[in-house]
Amino acid sequence: MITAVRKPLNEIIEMVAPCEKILVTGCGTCVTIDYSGGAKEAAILASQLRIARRLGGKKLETLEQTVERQCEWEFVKEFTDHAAECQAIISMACGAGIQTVAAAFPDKPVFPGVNTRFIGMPQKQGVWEERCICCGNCVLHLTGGLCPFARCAKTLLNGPCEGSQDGKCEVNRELDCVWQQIYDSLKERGRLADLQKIFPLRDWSTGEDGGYRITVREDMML
Amino acid sequence: MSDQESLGKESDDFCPRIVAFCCQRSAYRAADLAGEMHLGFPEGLDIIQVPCTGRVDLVYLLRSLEEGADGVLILACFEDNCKYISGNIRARRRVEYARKLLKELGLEEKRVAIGNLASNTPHRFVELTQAMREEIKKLGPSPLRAKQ
Repeated sequence: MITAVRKPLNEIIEMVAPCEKILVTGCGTCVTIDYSGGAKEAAILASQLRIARRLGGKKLETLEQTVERQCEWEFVKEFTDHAAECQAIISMACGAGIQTVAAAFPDKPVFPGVNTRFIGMPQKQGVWEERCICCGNCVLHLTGGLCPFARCAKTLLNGPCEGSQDGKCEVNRELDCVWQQIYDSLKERGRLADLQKIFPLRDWSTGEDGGYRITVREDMML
Repeated sequence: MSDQESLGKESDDFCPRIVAFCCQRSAYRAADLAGEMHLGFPEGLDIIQVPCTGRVDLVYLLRSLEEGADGVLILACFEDNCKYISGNIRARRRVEYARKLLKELGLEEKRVAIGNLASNTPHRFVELTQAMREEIKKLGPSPLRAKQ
């Protein structure tokens, strides 16, 4: 899932300062699961903004609406009626959702309600960890199912650095060294021979360094 | 009592409005018993029965304050005594989180609180609600009430 955290309240208060009526939108997919931007979080933010405005002696009207996914046109269109009543939209979706809403409503200011953090998974209830940096050229079949790009502070691809000690990362001793984990994982799977393979210099053009990426599936196009 | 009357100029005249979310298995029964025993409730107490305090969402706490409460109290079962195992622990954590939300707004964190009790402790119900009332009296009326 894509994970996010709520933006600091003061930043959002500043964004909506000129507005008297706003639409606070939640997204029903990733940010609902990680409790950062679903219907409940939209309701909490709307309440906080109303309270903050009232403490300043003024009034803020809010509408709230959550759709299944904000990163698809057909869902964000559902905001049309509410958006027409409001001066601005706060999107509590990930960056993709916020941009979809901004593109769908070009006549309205669209403000981010969250900071998008990473693609990850809930390690346990209430704790999310990064797992994927969308590099566009997956190596998980050779690394025991653990991504060295997402989980090594130095994105090393041919084993650990010298700073790896007692299975911990030198950049942050609270983090596990992923190369230690890769070794353990391959050993458990009887695939230590995979470590003999040397990765050549990596072509990062499949990742974010090649400009923004577009996937085309002609068979799916209408 | 009207807003003007309950707010009052002197602190002694201030009658705090407190919303108490009460677990139906403990606090609500304790309140019932306290009533039968004529123990007396604090003035200005609004009791809301919930199936479990784990049902009390953060937004209920905020909206209670928005709607004019000076304080919000969750009254839950004792820990390790929740019918639904961890509803009361979730409620405690939500209160802790709600306090952070209030701090972001510059409101006093103690306007939201939680207490634990059992269905057969009516005196404790009165003590907890009375203590909340005293705490809120010290804080004074919610700034939101004055700006309604």
